[in-house]
Parts: sequence; C-alpha cells; structure tokens
Amino acid sequence: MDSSLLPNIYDFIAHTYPFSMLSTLEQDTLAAAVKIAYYAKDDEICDEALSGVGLFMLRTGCAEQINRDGSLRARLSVGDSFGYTQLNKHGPSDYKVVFLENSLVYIISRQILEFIKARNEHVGRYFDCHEYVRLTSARHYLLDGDGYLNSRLKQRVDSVSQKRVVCVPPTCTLQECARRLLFTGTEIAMVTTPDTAELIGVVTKSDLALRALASGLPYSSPVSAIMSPHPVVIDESKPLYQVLESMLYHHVQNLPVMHGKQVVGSVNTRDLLQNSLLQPLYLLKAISKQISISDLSTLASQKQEIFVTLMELKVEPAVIQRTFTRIADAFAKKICQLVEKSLGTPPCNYAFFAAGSLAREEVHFLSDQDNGLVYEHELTAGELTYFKVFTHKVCTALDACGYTWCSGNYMACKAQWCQSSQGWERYYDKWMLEPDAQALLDSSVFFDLRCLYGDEFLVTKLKQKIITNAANSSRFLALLCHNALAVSPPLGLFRQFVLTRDGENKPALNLKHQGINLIVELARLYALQKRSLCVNTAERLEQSLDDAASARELIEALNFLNDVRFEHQYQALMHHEKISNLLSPDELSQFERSHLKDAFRIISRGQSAAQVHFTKGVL
Amino acid sequence: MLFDKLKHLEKLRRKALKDPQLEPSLAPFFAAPLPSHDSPLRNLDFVALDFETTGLDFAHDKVLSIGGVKMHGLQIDFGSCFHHFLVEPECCINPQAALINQITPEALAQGMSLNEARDFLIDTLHGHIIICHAAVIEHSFLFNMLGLKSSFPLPLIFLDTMKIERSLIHRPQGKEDLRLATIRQKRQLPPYVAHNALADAVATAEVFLAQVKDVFGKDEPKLGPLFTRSC
Repeated sequence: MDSSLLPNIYDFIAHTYPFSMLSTLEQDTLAAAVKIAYYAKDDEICDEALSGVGLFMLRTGCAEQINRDGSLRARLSVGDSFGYTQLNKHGPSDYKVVFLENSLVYIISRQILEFIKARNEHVGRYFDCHEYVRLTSARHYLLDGDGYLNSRLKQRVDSVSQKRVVCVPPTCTLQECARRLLFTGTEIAMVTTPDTAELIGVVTKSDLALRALASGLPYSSPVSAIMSPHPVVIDESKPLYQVLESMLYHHVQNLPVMHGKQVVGSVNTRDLLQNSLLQPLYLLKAISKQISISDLSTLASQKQEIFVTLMELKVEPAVIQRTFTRIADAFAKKICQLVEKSLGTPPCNYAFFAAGSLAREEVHFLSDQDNGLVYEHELTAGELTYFKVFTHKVCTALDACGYTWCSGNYMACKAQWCQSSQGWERYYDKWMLEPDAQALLDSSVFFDLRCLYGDEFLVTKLKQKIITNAANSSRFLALLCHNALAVSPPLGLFRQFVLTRDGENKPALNLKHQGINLIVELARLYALQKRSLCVNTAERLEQSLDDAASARELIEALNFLNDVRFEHQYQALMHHEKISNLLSPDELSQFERSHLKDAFRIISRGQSAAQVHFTKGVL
Repeated sequence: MLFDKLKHLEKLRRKALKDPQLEPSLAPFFAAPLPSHDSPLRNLDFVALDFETTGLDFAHDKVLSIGGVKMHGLQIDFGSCFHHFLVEPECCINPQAALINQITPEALAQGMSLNEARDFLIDTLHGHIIICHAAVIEHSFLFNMLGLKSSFPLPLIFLDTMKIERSLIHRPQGKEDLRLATIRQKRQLPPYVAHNALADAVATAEVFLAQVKDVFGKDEPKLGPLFTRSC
C-alpha cells in the first residue's frame, strides 16, 4: 500500500517506540495489520477483551490501567500502549483499562506482534514483560545512540574552540604580534585587513620561532612577511570531526573558527585533546595545584564543560556522578587544607565530612553542599571559635566554587552541625529515641556520611553508632519507612492533577523528589537494618536487599531516572535555560514517558515491599 | 414503525433478483439478503467508501478514484484498505477538480478501467453495509457505474455519517459545518490529508465508530437507528 496516502497512521507507527526501530518494510507490515477501534469515556476493557488479544496503542485520548485490587497501575496518554503483559493469558486479565476520554485505539494482533518481535530485537526486548528489562534495553538504546567516539566527534566546533581572538593588521610588527599572543595566551594571530576585517592570513607561535627567529628577521618586520596566507578555516557550526579531517589533510595544528566571514575563535589540537575523558583528570590536577581560594573558584566553571562532555560521550549516569563526586571531594579537600593553613593549628582532632548526596557519591552538576564537622572532645568557647571561623570560611569557599548554600541549612557553618563526637552521638540518640518529623528529616541527611578531610576515625565512629542504634530500633526503622513512603511515585503521570507545581504554577514532574529520592530512602532503610556501612545507593541495594531481583530492578530504575534527569539538564544547558530537577510533561518524549512509567512502577513495588518488611506489627 | 425502509429495500432486492431484465453479472450483487432493523452491528460487515470525482453532476462527471476500508466487529481493519484510480480514455480531467484531489494524469494512467472498477466494486461491496460521508454522491455515482436502471434499486444499505452527525445536534440551526474535517476536529480525532479517497474513507470510518458510541452509549448497537438517522 502507498504509505504516503495515509501519512497519519504510518507516521504514528514510525514515531512510536519501539516500532520506530523497525525498518520501513516492517513498519509497513505493521501498519497494514492495524485494526482501529474507538472507545468512549468510561468504556472498559478487561478479561477476554484484553487477555491474549494483542497490543493496544492509544492514538488519541487517555486511559487508566487499574489493578485487580483497585489500585492505579498507570495512566496512559497518546502514544502509550497496553496489553502486552497480557499477551499470553487467557480469561481474567491482571488489570482493566478504563477510558477517561473518548479514545481512538490502534490494535496490533498478537500474531503480528509475535512476528515483529521475532524479527527485531528492539521490539523483542521492549515487550519482555519485566519493567527492568525494558529499562535496560532503553538504556542500551540511549547508549548505542551513535557510539562513544562518534557522538564526541559530532560536537560542534564552537563547543571546544578558543573564543579569544587576536587580530592584527598585516603591518603589525613581529614583536607586537608576539606580545599580543603572550598576553592573551592564544596560539594563533589572525591577520585581517584594517578596513574590512577580512581574514587574509594567520601567524602561529611556531611561525614566529621558525620563520622569523630562525631566519634572523628583525623584530620590526611586518607579520605579512611570515604569515600563512589564505588560511584553511572552519565554520563554528561544523562538527569536530571536520576539524580533525582538515588538520590532518592540511597539516595544520590551528584553525581559525568563522561565523560567516568573521573570525570568532580558533581551535587547536590541544582543544581537541582536552575535550576528552582526560578533562576531569586535568581539573583534579589543577585543583591540587592551586594555592588560593580565588584561583580555585575560577576552576569551577570547568565543571559545566565536563558535564557537557560526559553527556555527549553518553557516559552512564553512575559514572557521571562518581566523576562529579571526585571533583567535589578535591575542591573540599583543597579548601579545607588552605583554610587550615591560614588559621594555624586546630585546637583538637576533627573531621570535615560530607552528608547527603556527596557522601553517597551521587553528586551531579546541580548539587549544593551538605556537610558537617565533628571534633574530638568538648571545647571551651575560645577554642570553639577556631571551628566557627574554619567552617564559615570552608562553606563560603565551597559556595564560591559552585557548591551553593544548602537550602536546608545542613552545613558545618551552622553551629548545630559543628559538634563534638559526644554532641553528634547525642543527636543520633535523640533522633532514634524521640523521632519527630524534624528528626526524621535531619537523620535522613546525616545518616549518609563520608569523611572529606581530617581524622577519618571520628566519622567512622559516628557511622558505627548510627548502624548499631538504628538496627536495634525497629520502631525507628518503621517510622523512617513510614516517612519514606509518604511520597508515592507519580504512577498516574502526565495528567495535570497528579503532578507537582513548579514556581510558575505549571504542572511539573520533580524527578528528584518524586522518583530518585524514593529509591535513595529505600536503600538507606535496608542498609541501616543490615548494619551496612555502605552509603552509595546502588551498593546499598546490592548488598542489603535479600531479594536480588528487586535490587536489580531498583538500580535500573535509578539509573534510568538519572539518565533522564541528566539528559534534560544537558538540554537546558545547551539552550541556555534554567537547570532544575523539574520536568514539564511536554518536554518528555513518548519513549521517556513509557519508560518512566516502568521506573515508577518498580519504585511503587519497592515501597510496598518495604512497608510490609519494616512496619508489619510495629505501627 | 409505520414504514420500514429496510424491509422495503429487501423486498425490492428480492423482486429484482427474479426480474429477467437484471443483467446476469449483477445477480451475485443482489443475492445476499439484507440485514434487518434489529441486526446487531457487531455481526455486520461494513465498507467505508469514498469517491473522488471530477464534479458533482452525476450525469456528466466521472469518478477519478475510489478508496475504502472494511470494518468488522466494530473494528476498522486497516489491512483491508483499497485505493484505485480510474482511467477513462475519453475523459479530460477538469484541472480544478484535479488540483483539489491532487490526482495527476500520471496517476490516472496506471489506474483501473471503468469495467475493472465495476467488477471490483461488485466483488468488494456485496454483503456489506456502506458508510459514506454525504452518501448521496457515492450512491449516485455507484448507481451510474453499475449501469442500473431506475427500476432496480441499489441493493446496498448506505449509512451517512454526515446525516448521523446532523441528527446528533440538539437544536439544529441549519447552518452547521458538517464537513468531515470539521467533525473530526470537533471530536478530537487526528487530522488526515483531506481529499484523498482512502484517507477520507478511513476518516469516515473512525467518525462512524465515534457516532455509534454517541447513539447507543452502553447499549448494544443495532442497525435500525443508524439507518433511520441516515435517511
């Protein structure tokens, strides 16, 4: 059949994951097998009408999947599908589908679906009944995208080019030219006509050495004597691989970057080199070499470039978080070191430690600071002044380095969170014996600890204290669990009433609060109960959850949520928009939406299991 | 019901079948009994049908293309779609109509002859209920194409989505916009390329499904009420 005649139906199939992964021929086969049905508001499909029938794809309208116990399984909108987990069933179905609006539905029969599944691995993997398998395949799909090297080389030239440009007239002396290069720290001078600013040649540092110095030209000679006329240039919008090609082909190490006829920068081999995974290493090394806090803070801007590079390399989210954790560690350590040096010897042993996401090694580009300080024994008011000044300086410097003030005030510079060992132990006792709402909140931050600077043993002792106390207090764990379950994942995604509101009162999905944090809290609960010293969420799940399959699916869900979060932050960065954890449902692709539903379903199951596990017979 | 048009049509069909003047090639077309007023829709076979023509003058204008899709059990079977262009050597396409319908002379050159189209339609339509938007066009052109004499009825039941839509308006003002695209927009159905016989047929079929829900709600949909609304 001529697909151009009904672009609507073919387009829909071709743009709906996983069928978007099919060849055109397969898509045609599929489209030709579609049956179209119409359901009015309040119509229901269940049992024989659903079991073993096939795949139902929502073309227009909106529907809900309701589990047999009456709970909501998912809310579906255009592009979503249902029925595939019921493909091999007969008679009663696991859920019913209730239409909330008049809906046009495309039905693909079981036989056709089996045929397509057998032919195409994407479809096969996607329709596996387990959510976490779908999430894994989704992540592979994201990662396969175009592969490591490719994606990196597809970056635009202007994402790595030097923006400082030295332009000199052809009459400029060699000495003046060299001086300008020195002051701007660039490798190449652009020789432009004084009137029209047209690029007529370039002079590199090596030209000055090899063409001028080596042949004994006087310093006052004009640059026109040694410039390379008619230089090879590259447009700022071109992909990086063209830079590589040009450089290899023309044997040059520097290219002027053009915006139309105007020179806007340059790119050299070193820029290409830095734009690799080596970048974070360079930064770590640079941090360790700094001798003042103001110099340190100038390095902070590199975090954004690293984030962009890692995203473009399609590095998995856990690696991004680890990389940013290492960077945050390096900043914090260096700052502590510099501040301690400026203040002189401290009155006693102490440790500056990370709490929250930095402790869990789950830092990302947006993370603020969560930290505390513990000193060895009670101090006099005079001695305490040292740590007051110390923590104030450290937290201020962290803010200057891009780790903004913690909105919850969980920082060592607050007197409350700069305490002796005994002081901290009293906190933990109090939190666990008299857990009120604030105690539960505080403990959720300070139950995740990691020493950043100073006497690590002080932190280890606190961690021991936490796990001993917590594991012995099933009542406390039950309350913590109750608290962790207060927020449910938004199973009924993407209809306004189930979403939180952002600052401008637009419906938004908060991936952190409505998704990621829920997994973090579950992992903490199990770790506390198992007296595990692990703080990283994935490690906690792996080591403390008895049910390995549940652990695995929760980790997949976590990875996927972070993937989506980072991808949207990356997109916001690229479009110079405000970065946040909030997502507007319109921004989500149908692909992301259907997988988010899987992730939320996994979290919901994890919460139910935790509820039984921790609160049975206690509350 | 004072006068059951369906029964009347069925009576005419049986009479025509016995009429010696009925052309033999049309006999199978008249063979199957028509469903009745109480026939449930889920047991019936439908064809949503659309003709693109050179104009609206049934006597002189020609059919350029025919498109359609079958429906059974109140589900549109997308695999049953058909779309054919007709060639008529003597025909000169009215350039304006061709522009609207986006049919080029090249497309027509590869099409069916009038005889082939006639056989195809007899084969495809018999035993089916026909759904059209503004059925009078398809009804009249089909009547001409089959070469039926006025003494013979067209042995087909036509349901008209335009008339059904009008019947669903509470207080008709007489100037409602009942074009297919407008109705679809109002019903929040996805937009299709207009003036393409196949796309219009599928579009009509979807509108029909929506109308069935409006007319019957949760009750078992039956033929009678829809037929009445289509007259």
